[in-house]
Amino acid sequence: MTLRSLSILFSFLVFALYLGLVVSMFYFWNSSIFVGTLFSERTLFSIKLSLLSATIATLLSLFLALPSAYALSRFNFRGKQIIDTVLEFPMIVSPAALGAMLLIFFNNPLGIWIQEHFVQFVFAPYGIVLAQFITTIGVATRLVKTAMDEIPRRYEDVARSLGVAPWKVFFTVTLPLSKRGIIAGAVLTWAKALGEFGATITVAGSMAMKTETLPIAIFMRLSTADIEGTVVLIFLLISIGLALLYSLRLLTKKERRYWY
Amino acid sequence: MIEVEGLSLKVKDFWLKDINLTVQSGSCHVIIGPTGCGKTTLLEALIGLRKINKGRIRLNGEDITDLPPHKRGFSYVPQDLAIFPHLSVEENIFYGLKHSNLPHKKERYEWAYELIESLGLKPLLKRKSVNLSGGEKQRVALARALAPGHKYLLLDEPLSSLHEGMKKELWFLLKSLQKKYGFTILMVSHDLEETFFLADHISLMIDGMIQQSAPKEIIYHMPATIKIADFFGIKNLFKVQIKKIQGEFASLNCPDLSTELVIPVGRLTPNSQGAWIMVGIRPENVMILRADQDPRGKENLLEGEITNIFAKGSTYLIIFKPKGAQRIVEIEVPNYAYRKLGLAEGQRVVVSLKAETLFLLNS
Repeated sequence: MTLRSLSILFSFLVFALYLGLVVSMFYFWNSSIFVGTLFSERTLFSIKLSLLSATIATLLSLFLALPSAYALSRFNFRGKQIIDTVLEFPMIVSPAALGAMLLIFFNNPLGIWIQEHFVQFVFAPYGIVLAQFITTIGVATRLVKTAMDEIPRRYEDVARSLGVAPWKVFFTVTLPLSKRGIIAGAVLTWAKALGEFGATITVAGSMAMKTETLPIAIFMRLSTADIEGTVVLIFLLISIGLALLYSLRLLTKKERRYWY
Repeated sequence: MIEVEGLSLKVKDFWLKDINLTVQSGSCHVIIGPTGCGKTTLLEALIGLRKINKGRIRLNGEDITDLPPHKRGFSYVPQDLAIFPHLSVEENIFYGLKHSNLPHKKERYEWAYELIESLGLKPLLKRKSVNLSGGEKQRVALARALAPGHKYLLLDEPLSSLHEGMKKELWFLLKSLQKKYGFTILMVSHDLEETFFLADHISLMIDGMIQQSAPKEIIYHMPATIKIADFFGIKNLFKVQIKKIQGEFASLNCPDLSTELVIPVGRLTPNSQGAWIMVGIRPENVMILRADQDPRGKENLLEGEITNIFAKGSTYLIIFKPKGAQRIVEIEVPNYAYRKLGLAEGQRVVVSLKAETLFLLNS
């Protein structure tokens, strides 16, 4: 067997693994409950809550990721290596641990003060956004940094030599040139936020019609042995995720890398 | 006028050491040197893209060492041109004017439109910049650099990727633009032909140091050191002992060529008598005498044999072995002279090393 055919075989194996999982769900497929489950008030609330919280968390992540990724991509400064390493923090710490850390923080005097004077996070919808934000900010920064790293600094150097101030160069050269990479990063960040479970359930709990996002709704139905309902929600989550990833593929396919 | 005084800069293990440079307004000053000698680093330091360790940079007497790049008044064209791929040709050219806070914008816009006409870019204005040819990109990069009205153009080998025909076309264009508008060019290059075509003044840089800075005629005919002569590919370098200094000439003993040579006394002093020095001569300055030519009155005559002939295209390279000498002499003759002299390998000829074309070298 040639290297080519062997490697292609393995790639199909990966595909078959995921496909097998999806196909196996049809064993519990029940068309009669599909519409009822999908359009139930509880499911619609979960969809709305998931989309809204993932969008807010993504926007917050990007707001912080854009300037910090620019700093990491363009400048050398003390502590850069440490910050760069810490971006992987949510990946090495399990989401449940991250959620537990947030709970512990809100039981400290500062956390209690924040909750008393500003916003209630623990067992509240804001906790969902916070949990998703904390788990995605590192990834978002890493993705935006990669997008900016791909743009040669020469463009910015030339722009500045033409008498344009660094701020304007950032908005007229750096951002437009890394736009596609940033959008792709935002979509992936949003997908990660949408599927977030561990930190969310730890911080916000699993209260129906209050803090029940789609992944939590799946967990709740499974814990009550409602397999058929679980299958419907899983299909819903898969559909949203696949639509998103497919649009991302279209986006990156159209992307033209001028500088290579 | 750009003045660089005692500039030193460290990049990893590489040092730019004590650079002193003066670029006269309205001139074309080329910094030439081998790859990795630090010429691009120097240009980046002047633009303000690199922090310097020591020294000052002045523009028309004003100290600009600590100014950020956008306040220095230098326009920069890098080697890869960095045409903004997300903008059209027009947007590229007007980028600096549109986004900077330069004064007298109306006049600057008028100047930019004149420049667009001069560079023949009007039909391309609406084109996407990624769809331009190599030569078009060069012209857009030049227009973009000059449009804000900066009088100082810093070029980092911007023509290196072009084929010969296009390159020469742009040399003429650059020269004519400079003549018409009187801006100053400081350019980095490793191309000898390009350098001597464009430059008024040349600074030769090797290993992070300026080796010689002089008008191009001087640097061409009188390279100051063996390193410089070596960079120019001059092989005719010979060890000589100063025998006698008399009046305007000095006579030298040259064991390499097994002869005595006469050179203008130049910077030799009477007390240098007996010292060993190096002299050199460019291959095109060595004259082969015709068979019927009277050698009387010709200086530094050498008799010998042509051992090899190489056709180089526009010239021929003749390898000449003087009688009894240990070394050879390289001679370069134009095609028409080669045909007229009817030269052949193995032929015995007499050559003259004209005294005023021999140069002294610091070792």
